[in-house]
Amino acid sequence: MFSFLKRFLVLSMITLVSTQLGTLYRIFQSVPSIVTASEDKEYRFVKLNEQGYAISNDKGPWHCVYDRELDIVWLVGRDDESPFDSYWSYSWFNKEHSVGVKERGTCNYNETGCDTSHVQQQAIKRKACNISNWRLPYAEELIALVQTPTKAGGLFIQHAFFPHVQKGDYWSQTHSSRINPSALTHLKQGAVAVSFKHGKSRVLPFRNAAHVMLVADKQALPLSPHQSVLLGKKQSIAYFKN
Amino acid sequence: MVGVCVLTLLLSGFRIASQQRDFWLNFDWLLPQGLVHIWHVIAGVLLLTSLPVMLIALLKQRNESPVTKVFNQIGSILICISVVTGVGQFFFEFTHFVVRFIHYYSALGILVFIALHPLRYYFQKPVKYLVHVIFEPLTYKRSYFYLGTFFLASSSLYLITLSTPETLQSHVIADDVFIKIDGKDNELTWQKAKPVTVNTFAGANFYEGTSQITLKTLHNTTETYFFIRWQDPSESLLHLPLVRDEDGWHVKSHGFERFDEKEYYEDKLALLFSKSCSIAAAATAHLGSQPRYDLPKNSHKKGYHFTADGVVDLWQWKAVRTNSMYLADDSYISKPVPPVVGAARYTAGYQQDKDMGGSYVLNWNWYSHDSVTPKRLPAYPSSNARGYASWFDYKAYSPELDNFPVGSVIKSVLYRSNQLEGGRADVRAHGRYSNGYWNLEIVRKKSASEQTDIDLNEGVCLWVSAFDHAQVSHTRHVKPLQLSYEL
Repeated sequence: MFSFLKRFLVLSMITLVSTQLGTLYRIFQSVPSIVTASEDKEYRFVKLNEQGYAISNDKGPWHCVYDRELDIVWLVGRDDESPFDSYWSYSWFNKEHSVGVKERGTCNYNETGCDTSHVQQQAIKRKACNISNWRLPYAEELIALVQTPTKAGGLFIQHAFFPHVQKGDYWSQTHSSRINPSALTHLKQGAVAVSFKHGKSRVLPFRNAAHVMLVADKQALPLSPHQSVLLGKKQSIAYFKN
Repeated sequence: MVGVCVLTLLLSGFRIASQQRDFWLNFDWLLPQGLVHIWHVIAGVLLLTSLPVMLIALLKQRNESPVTKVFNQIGSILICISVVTGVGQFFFEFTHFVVRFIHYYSALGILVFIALHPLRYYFQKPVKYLVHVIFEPLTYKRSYFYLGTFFLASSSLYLITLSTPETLQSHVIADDVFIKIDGKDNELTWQKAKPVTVNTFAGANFYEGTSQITLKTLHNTTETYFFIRWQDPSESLLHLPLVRDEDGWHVKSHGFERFDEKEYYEDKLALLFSKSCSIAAAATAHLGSQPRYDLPKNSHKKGYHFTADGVVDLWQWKAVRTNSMYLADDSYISKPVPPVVGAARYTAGYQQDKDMGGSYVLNWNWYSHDSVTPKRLPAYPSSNARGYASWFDYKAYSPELDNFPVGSVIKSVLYRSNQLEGGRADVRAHGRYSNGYWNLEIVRKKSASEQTDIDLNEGVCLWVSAFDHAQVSHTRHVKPLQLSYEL
């Protein structure tokens, strides 16, 4: 019986090897796998659900994304006609310092028009993802989101984590007087905006209508039992420290 | 050599069969992956050229008991039947159900024959048997002569067969002749275009998986028009409807969780254009769950489309998602793109051309087999979810609005605008269903406007595939058609 099984196994192995020669060849060729990178457990982004709990990268829905690289949380645009719908546009206005241009954008929750202070107020008021320190990102933070598209004509952002990003400009909170469209230099002051369609930044006048993706600095998020595993040890410690 | 050919044919054949017969997907771990169609045809042509010599040798030299002789004769007959039906399919494009049925079951017969035939060799001295069958013939000089002759004859046969694809002659029309893209060939000029019929097979649903597709084409100085008519027993416009049950909403589907829906899906038609006329859809059809080691596995185990280099143009007309936009989805097949972490589905080389907006949207936030939350809800419950709805006719979902009775159905396809924009909208198309046939009119400029398109020139090869309420299980044909432009 043992001899029979041994011979049967030899025959099976020969059949298997002969049908999988191509695969074996590639294994021994040691081609760098494009899957390897995608299966990296310490991936830069982590999805956070409505309550701010981390969920697995292949699950959904999610409302925020924790960015391990920048150690901040991004508020992900939606398409649900909420104040965080990525279709809405805003003029740039800082209410605290009364800088910028009020209410020159379009949204459905402010009849007289919308500016960046409105969406910031909404995020704080509604405690999106259980976070209440939402702000406009710095230019460096927004630029750090830019990455080469994986397909021709794709957006310059990780679209699986930021699915509703618009093909327009996104405001940062960084002021500048170097307004790019030369015809608008008489407006003197503006802020840096980043386009994920072109993967470039430029300075736009405050009155322009652009989109917004808010960020929040690290803070004590509500941690589920699985949270520390999903966020990684280093990050979860950082959260508790704060 | 016959043994090697038969083994290659069986394994590659069962992989090809897995496209239509899900049973063989259970053997995904064993069956070869990749450009299996090409290996199948090459092994088939080699077997065709070497089989007569083997049969003569067997008749002359066999000194066996009557029982063994009868048994071996059955095996030889099964191989002959398989070769004859294979020749019919490859050289003469016989796609009748009976031909494919006989081809498949003769292969199963050979499998049984192989399993039973040399048991005494397998289980007594397997290594010695393999040496006897594979290596001993190589010690004779005449073996090399036979091998050389077989390779020469079969490669010539293969190349000659593939170098003469059937021509699809495009009739020339004046630039001022107006062709309305409405799914009707009622303009007089269409009567002058010579139709060509292709028998496609191995799709899901249809008539035993087959659909006869007739194409004709016209061109002026800037554009090429196609009129395509294909058999389809049903007009399928019910695309993944959302159904309300006691626990909430779920997507009505049968296979969608592994991206192989075969029941609640729209009808589609795909046209593939390539400068290469190689079989297996210009050598883009790579079968298996992981046809290349460095790519992620696909959950339906049926394979990926991708090229080794360059781009193949793909137009996909969709009965719900693009038909009312009067468009086909202009797509392409390229080298596999890197997988994106968090993306719901990986499609290797199959991608859509870049769009500038105005797309259709599926009406759920995140797909789960168990339940979904719709993005938007209609004003009133309905029992009909065929077709699409306008994004703006539905209201954004809220728990307060979600008071639909159990059993309500809503549409899953929402148009955010009345047309796609950008390169994805380069192909205008409209189809009509009538009396068991879809009729599709389709047009694109001859010159490619994107890097992901190809010019429609003399000699470009094309393939056509129909989908009968199926997501990926389409019909196919072996040899391409070749475009020829009348001057």
